[in-house]
Amino acid sequence: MNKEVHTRRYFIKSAFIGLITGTAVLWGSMVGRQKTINSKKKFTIPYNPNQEVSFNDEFIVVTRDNKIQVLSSRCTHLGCKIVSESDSKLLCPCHGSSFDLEGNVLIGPALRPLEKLDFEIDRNSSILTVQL
Amino acid sequence: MKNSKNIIKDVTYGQISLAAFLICAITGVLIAIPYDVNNPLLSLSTIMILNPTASFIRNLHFWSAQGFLIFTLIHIWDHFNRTSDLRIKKGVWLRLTIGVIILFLAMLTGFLLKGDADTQQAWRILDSLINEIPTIGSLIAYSLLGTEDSLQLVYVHHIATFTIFLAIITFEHSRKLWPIYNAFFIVLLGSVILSYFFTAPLHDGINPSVKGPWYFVGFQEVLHWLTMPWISILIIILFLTLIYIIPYAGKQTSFLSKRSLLIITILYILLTISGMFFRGENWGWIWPWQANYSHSVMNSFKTSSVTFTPDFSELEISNSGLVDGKKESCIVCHQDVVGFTASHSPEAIGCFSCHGGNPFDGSKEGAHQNMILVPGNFADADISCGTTNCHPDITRRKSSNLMSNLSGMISVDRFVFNEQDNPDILTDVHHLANTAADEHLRNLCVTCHLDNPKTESGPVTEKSRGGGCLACHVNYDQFATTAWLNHKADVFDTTYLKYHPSISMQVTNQHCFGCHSRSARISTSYEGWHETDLVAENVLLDSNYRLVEETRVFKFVQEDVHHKLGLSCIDCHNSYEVMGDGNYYAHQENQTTLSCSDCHFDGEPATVDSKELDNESAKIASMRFGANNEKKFLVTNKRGVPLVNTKVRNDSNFFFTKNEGVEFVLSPPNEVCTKGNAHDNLSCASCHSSWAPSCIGCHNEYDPNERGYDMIANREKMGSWVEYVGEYNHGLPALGVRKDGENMEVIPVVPGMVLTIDVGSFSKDLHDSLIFHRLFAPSAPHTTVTKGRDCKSCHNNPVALGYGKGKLTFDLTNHKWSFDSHYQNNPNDNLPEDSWVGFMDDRLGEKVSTRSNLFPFSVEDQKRILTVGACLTCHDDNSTVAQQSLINFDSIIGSRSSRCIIPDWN
Repeated sequence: MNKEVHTRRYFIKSAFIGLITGTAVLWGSMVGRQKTINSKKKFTIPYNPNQEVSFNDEFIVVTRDNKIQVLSSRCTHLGCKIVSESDSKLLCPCHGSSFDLEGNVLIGPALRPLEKLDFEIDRNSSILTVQL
Repeated sequence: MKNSKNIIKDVTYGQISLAAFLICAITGVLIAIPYDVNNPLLSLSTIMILNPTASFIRNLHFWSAQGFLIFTLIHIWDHFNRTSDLRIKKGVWLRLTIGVIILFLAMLTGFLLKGDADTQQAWRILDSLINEIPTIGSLIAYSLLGTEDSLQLVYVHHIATFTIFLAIITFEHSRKLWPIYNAFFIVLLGSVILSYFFTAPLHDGINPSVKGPWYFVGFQEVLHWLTMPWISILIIILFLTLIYIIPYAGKQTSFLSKRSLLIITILYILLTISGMFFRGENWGWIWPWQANYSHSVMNSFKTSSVTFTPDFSELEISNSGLVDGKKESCIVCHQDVVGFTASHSPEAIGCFSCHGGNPFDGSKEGAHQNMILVPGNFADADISCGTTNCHPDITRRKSSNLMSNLSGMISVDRFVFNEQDNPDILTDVHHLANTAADEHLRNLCVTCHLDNPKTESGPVTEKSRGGGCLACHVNYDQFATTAWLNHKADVFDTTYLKYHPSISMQVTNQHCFGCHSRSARISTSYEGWHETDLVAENVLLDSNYRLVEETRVFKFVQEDVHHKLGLSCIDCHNSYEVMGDGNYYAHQENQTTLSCSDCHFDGEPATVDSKELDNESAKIASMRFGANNEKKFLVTNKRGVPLVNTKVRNDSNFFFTKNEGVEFVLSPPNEVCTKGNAHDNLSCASCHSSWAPSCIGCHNEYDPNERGYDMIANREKMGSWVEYVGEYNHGLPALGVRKDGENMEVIPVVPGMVLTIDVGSFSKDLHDSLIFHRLFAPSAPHTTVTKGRDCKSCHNNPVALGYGKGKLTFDLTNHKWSFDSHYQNNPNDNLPEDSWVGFMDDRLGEKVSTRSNLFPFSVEDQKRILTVGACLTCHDDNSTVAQQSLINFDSIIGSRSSRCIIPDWN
């Protein structure tokens, strides 16, 4: 009798753990795949060489001394979108971090510099392509 | 009293939160009907403006949710104080503890579903925070929030996952699905009242402050101080652990847990208050008395009551367009308004971005609340023209503009009143005190600063003063002007609301005229008009005269050659000159960058390629003259400012008028201008100014019985400084020397301040104190002529030398120059009224000008000039001797014939 109960409990327990594990694996696999699909984004914008700093949803284009840099617009503190610049400082509106135009932290709470993004520029058509 | 006690009998905090949850759930189902998760902002703004019932239900949903949160937390705390009664199984209590987090997530997802300016930032913060959880953070974040461009998952979790979880744990621990009647009634009544009077928030997109919902603002403050956000996850876990252990821990541990929770709660409330009331733009600390507090902080609390009967018809509703993906109530009523430029049309920027008000209110009164009738005044420029998406880079530097701060005017006035030793001190019109000089400025001068607000609509006229951005950028076309005049005549004629003035870069001379027809009178001089002291009635029919401001009589003398060609003020004066460049300058000649030689030059010009233009210049150039591709522009020699209305092509240089686009080929200076080195230090204006206005013998005194005006406060007052004009003159300007380090330049000067001031009339402490000054001022006459003045007009002219009008004679018998003045000597300094210096004097060590770097010719300079003058008594301007003297004067003098007579200075 005891053996039967033990076996039944063992089975139910095992099945439950298996179910949870299986669901978790499926969940993780599905989300991981979906994230990969959605994460590959390419942005193409007209490039304005006269504008020292221009803000886009995902990135900031900085042109200084004929050198272009594309920085992520996500503050490295908590991801807030940086939307303004004042006195050559990029300002995070959410928690007050500020960065220089190279993306280096000037004032925290952010600790890391803004991520530099890869980009391509077609000088003839003045088209800037940024890959996220 | 008894009845009220009966009503709240058996009503517990749990009952209230359950009632709030129920109302929230029901209204949530209802509001899902008009709400569109794919266009959240559009659907919500439409609801708020056009569907008052839906707006009211949304408000009920919002306020019941806030009630649910607050009373659930109180309910938990209440239970902590009755631990003996708490008979909840550990598993249930664990789920309830987790339920606290779920409750906050349900609230936060509701906040995200607004889809407004705050949503993206909140989404990103939440996403980043969840990603801080080790190993599974990324998985949970994606499963909970999905991707940034879709709120679908957020919506699903808000209406299903979290709601169902909360419903289950509510039932699980209370075994109730329905609150008692009294609790439901109380919560419903409270929610209805709140929902009617206070519409649930929707960020207008203009306010630069980014703040989370009120219950998250304290946490936002915590995050501001945390350089490592994962610590906040630990804080949350600690908070939940403290809640979890309270019922089951020993007495002491339970007591400590409760005290810890109490302290955390009090701290959190303090942080919430500081975040809500003292954090402004970019989470910077702001005090209530600081500028912009109202906009940065209090704007978040802006709300209105529900208008069940909107002030517009069904037809108007269906015809109204969208602004930046959302509805604005303004354009429902104000449809078919014409007159805008494309960039400032309602389709592009709506009405709200300039005029403020409440764009989500359906009533006229509510929509017009806090409206800015005339936007662009500097007091509100930051929240109209200068908002983040418009022109913040320009409005940010507005106070550096001399036309805004009037630093030069104020500093010179104080210098003239002997209140400061230096006329070049930087100051600001907002820092005027109550001294004699500052009162003088308040009464007679400072109405012209750009910061002087424009308070009424209407076109810019010669009587206009100030007006911030609109001082230059507003234009009324024929229809708008007529409609505005009709409204002025009859206030009930509202046709003018259909004809909006245009906001554009079409800045005409008329915009500058109001202020610049006074003082130095550049605007009038440029057009050829000289002010007289004649009476208007005597010249009404004479075309040689014109009236300004109805009473001031101007006589035509000669217009500037650039005016004759059709050039406007802005054709020469670029955006950095007229709007400031962020640096503070003592005087106008310091702020301006353009000089004649920037356009009229010899040799290779300084240029800039279109790709190297700064953004502002590039934008102006492309908007005025089309694409900038491969263009080369001239730049000013001073500070290298691009001249966007020029073009360098195939070794030719072109100039365009900005408003009409008329093309000119730029010509180099005449050969004589650059011949030799004798006149290297002469500014172009020294020779090419045909005339300049001047005024001498003015007297100023304070009359306590004069009806005056305070131009800062913009109100009438009793007592005012009164200016008694001496004599208006015009003629070739005198010349002076501006020294800048080792450099010197000869420039036109005028008797700017030859006057007396009775300071004792203002201040009784200074009775009998009469100030006399003989100060000349640098002048930019704006009366340019193609042919410069001849040699004698300088070398043999007592006015040019600073002696004033009179007879300057070279006596060929005794070889001496002599001067006989036209005016009598002023008893204050024994110099002729119109002179700057006495003959063969330079007033060394005296106050001589309105600048610290401007002087009359030194005695040595005068001798050299008059030596040439002596030669010119026999030799013509175009004679060989005169021409050669331009190249090597000393050599010509050295090899002069025995018949030549040079001055004897002994």
